[in-house]
Amino acid sequence: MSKKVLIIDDVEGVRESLKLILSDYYNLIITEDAGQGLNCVENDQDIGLVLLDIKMPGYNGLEVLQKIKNVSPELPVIIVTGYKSVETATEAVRLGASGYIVKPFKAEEILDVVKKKMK
Amino acid sequence: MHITIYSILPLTTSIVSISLGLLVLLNNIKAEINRVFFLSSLAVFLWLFCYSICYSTDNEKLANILLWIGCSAVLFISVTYYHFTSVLCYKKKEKKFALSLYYVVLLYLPFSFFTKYFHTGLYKYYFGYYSRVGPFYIYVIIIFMSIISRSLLQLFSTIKLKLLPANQLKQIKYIFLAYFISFFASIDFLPKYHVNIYPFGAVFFLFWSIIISYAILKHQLLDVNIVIRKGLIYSLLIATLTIAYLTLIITIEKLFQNFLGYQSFIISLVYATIIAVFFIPIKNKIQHIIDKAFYKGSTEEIAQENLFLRKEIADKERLKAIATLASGLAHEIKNPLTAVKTFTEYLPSKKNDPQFLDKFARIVNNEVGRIDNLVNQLLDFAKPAPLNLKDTVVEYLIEDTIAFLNNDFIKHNISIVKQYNPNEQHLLKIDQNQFKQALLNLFLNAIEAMSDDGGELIIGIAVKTTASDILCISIQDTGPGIAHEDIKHIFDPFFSKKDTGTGLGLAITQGIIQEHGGKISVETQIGVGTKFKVELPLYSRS
Ligand SMILES: [Mg+2]
Repeated sequence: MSKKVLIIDDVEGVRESLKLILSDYYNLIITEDAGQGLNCVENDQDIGLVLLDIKMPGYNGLEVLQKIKNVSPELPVIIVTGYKSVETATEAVRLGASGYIVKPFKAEEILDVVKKKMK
Repeated sequence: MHITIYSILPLTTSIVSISLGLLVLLNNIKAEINRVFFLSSLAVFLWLFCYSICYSTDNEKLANILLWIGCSAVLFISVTYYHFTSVLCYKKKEKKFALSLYYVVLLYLPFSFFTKYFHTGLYKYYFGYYSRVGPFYIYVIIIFMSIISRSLLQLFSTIKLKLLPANQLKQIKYIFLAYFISFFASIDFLPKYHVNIYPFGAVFFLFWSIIISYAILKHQLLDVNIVIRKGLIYSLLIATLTIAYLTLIITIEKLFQNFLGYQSFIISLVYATIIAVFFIPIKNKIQHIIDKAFYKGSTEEIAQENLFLRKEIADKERLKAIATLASGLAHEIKNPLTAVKTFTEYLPSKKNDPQFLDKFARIVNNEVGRIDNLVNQLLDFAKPAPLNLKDTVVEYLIEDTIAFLNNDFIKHNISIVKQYNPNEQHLLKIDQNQFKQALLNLFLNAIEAMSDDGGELIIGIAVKTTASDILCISIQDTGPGIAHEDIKHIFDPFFSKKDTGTGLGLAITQGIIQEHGGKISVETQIGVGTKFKVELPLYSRS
């Protein structure tokens, strides 16, 4: 049984897109709430990778990233963001992000990064 | 004691400095930067004032004490400089260090007073008494120079690395220039080592005051109000003229004493003539020139300029808001684009999968709707339509808006509490549609806050009478309240805690209220609720 991918994004269209791309190959946990996502990371040992939106109401994705890394330092986290800003990218890498994908993404990009980085 | 010509320069500079300091302090006594600037000017004043008296007195004991006070004030100048530049450049750590330096100087004071290591007494020069210093004083000079160099470096690196917004950098350039020039006043250390030159360092502090004043006048340094700024330029002018005038008087007095002997009647007559012939007309003439250069004249025009300045600030705020909006929009619009892109990408391979097609129809439609919505709200925000002002009974408008949302209130189990008399009629001059939009956004916000557990929407109307009548409309929910760190952002475009909203509602509401010349504020308490208060000029009531 392969590991699961955790998807955290506040927008349904993005969640559905990721689901469409990944569900044929991976088991998914999908949530719109960053707090719930954190819970999953804490309690579910089978999560092998996180796709994390950086801008969500009430949450700064970078903070969430930091919290995930506190709980599970080895777990790869890929940041999914609306625009590429050098500062955010640098900060994300500093905090331990394994990758950085800009919306709108290609299905191929997602499949590629998940395949490569999956723990 | 008789004021000699040598006292005039330090005395005038000391008075200019303390006036400038007081002006800056009184203009905004709450701002740290203004208070620190006042400390600097106070130290400059103490130094120059004490020394100026030493040049005019024959009392050795008095001179001794004054020289010690003046000398100590010089050290404080360096520390206040450092403190000032740290606050100005937002350097928190350096500011802490500057504060600890105050204690160091305070500790030094008794040493320098009671021992002979730093102050050993005084010299008598042709211009008057001056400090004579001991073997350790050189370290004081080194520390003094290091602190000032550090402040200048701080300013320099802030300018060089462009660490602050452009308008602040412009101000800092002036400060740097002023403080750099004032550094040359170190020339005044020389007579302390028995170099027989007149300590003319005060000149550089006169430049310091003039440059700072200029920056205040032209670049709103230290946020000094324009009407007060006008006062500043006059006091500077009068100070400058007074120096010229006093110099003239004393020179003439000397001439008369040399050639005619002391004849008080003639001297008084000459004084009066000088004042009448030169001083007042010159002062008026220069005042007129300055008026022309800076303000084009009348008080109405000053008021106009004030208004213009305020508008300029408002425009800048608006531009900033639009920039935030644009970047927020760019970010937000990528979400629906992602969905549309992915679903169309999969369409060819899944066109026979009915489940996919169902989802495609729903998601793509939703997301296109989201883009449409975003663009509309952006347009609403960027281009507020001109107001179509009409006399409107605010009670009716509120009733209308409540009726419009009635179903939502019922659905979310929200009851309306009216804390006003629906039979009263308060008249406002407003654009009904826009104002209704503003109210609607506030109500929707309240509904959103109480969507989980229901609650009460409390609406109040009250009249506040100050200079004119102000109508306060309050809209209060019993929701969870807004977190402290979020409260200052709630009117920012694209700031949203909701899953469904775009975060433009409150930004638009604020824009509409401000267009109407009103203001909106918010109070919140976690676990109790949130209250929005809209204040508008009241037209009439019945
Ligand atoms: Mg998002």
